[in-house]
Amino acid sequence: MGRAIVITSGKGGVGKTTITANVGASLAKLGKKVVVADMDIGLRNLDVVMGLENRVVYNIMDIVEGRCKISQALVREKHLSNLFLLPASQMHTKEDVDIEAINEIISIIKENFDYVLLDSPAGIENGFRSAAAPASEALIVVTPDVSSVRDADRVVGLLENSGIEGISLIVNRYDPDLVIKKKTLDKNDIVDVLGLDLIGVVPEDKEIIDSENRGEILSIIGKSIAVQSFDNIAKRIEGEEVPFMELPKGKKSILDFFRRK
Amino acid sequence: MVNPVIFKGTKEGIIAILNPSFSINEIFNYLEKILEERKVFFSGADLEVDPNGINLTETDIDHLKRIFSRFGIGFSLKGTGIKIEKEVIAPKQETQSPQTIIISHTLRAGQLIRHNGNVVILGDINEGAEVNATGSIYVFGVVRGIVNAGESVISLGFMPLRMTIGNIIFDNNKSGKTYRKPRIATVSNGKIEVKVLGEKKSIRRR
Amino acid sequence: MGWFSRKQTNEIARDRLKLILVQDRKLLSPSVLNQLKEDLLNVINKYIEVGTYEVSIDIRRESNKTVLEAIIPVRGIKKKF
Repeated sequence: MGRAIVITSGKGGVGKTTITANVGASLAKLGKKVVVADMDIGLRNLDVVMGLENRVVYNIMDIVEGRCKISQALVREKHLSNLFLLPASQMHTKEDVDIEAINEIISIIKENFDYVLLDSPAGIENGFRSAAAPASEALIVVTPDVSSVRDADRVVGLLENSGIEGISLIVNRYDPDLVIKKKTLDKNDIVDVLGLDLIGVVPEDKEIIDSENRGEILSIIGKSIAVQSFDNIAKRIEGEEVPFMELPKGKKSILDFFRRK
Repeated sequence: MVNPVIFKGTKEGIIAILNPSFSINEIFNYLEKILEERKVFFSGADLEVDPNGINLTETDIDHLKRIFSRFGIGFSLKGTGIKIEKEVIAPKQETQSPQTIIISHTLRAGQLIRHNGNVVILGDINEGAEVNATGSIYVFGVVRGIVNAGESVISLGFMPLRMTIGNIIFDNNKSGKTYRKPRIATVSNGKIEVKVLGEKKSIRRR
Repeated sequence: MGWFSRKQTNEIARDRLKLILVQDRKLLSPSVLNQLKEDLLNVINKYIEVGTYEVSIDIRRESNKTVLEAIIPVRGIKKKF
């Protein structure tokens, strides 16, 4: 019996999809069988971020509406044979979603995989609710800014009321230089305010944009520092105690960081 | 020997030697006065009382028991097998629902609260103060004094002179840390553990 | 794949985007379009005899409007009307 984890944030554009794809890949690299499910019905994104847009034949609504079996809709990742994508539909809207039907499908997938990561859409309406419904655990993604944290707080409140078993926090797009200059929230302040277990800090990394534009998952093909943080998150989810990295400060590029070592 | 009772400290503890030159009532009065003045010092202690030749009657011994128990002090009577345990606050089923009392100020040295139920302190418990409660003690401040609770102690800082929950004594490293968010001390696996109050469960695998 | 043959990301991104948008602009998936065609023909066949094989149905976006185009050759009008 696998674990169903919803990746959500409230605010849009903080990096949920990137994190779903990369943490999913990091878990697969550990040997786990992973399905990453795009729950943004109507606005497909996870397939593009993973570079699998040409391999999508069926999507989750085709399963719901009986046009295909679950296995037919799952798209295998190009390099990792134990990582699969369940695409979203572009022809439906979030109002079309039958939460119960989706729940059932995810439950069946959960029985055959170690992890199902549910990439939630932004917001707190039907889309978020149908993404969170099948999940027993949640990963909240924030960026170090006030509105992101405030939206996250709202979402955490909703999740707690729904009886979710565990919630952890990822701070994304963290820039230690800005923290030193006191121009942004420190991760400790964010943890203090939200009162959540911090499970990862992902630094600002230009390689992420590059890999997504190329249609590759950075965690699979890259060596940058962001990959290290994705791998660490996967290990912590698995229960390993991994100390947080010292993120490089005052560097022009990631290469400088490696050069210094 | 000038005073009705002389207190001597030994390796084993404190000995209270009674002075036969004084009447038993003078001795009782003096004892009460000293214990009142020095209750911090004696609190939770075990004394040995040496009658020093005085013939104590049953009534006298009862009186002694009453005086000492008022201050939560246990004592043994030298030369007899009599040993009165100091009051130990242990968790037990209350026959009546315990009340919660609220103390709306810092407890200062020499102040003692003893209550059957829960106690809320809106302030600190200073060194020299003591709170004994059968339930839980909620401190909107820092614990520096003596606390004996039946169930748990919640506070923003634990630097107690002594802390017991049930029969378990807190292994006090006196870290001197204060927290912005409350911590709760409870008995877990036979010892007292201090955890963040209301800790949310994470998604790390256990 | 050597250093010289590695395409620049912006080129790759541009090519991918073009393909994705062509697919996206097709407003109905092939399976749903088929369903629409069947349903449409079932209704039309009640009044007008049509040849199913020559039928073409497409829905697409043209400049700023959406167009449903159905080309259905008519064989005859049904006798009962």
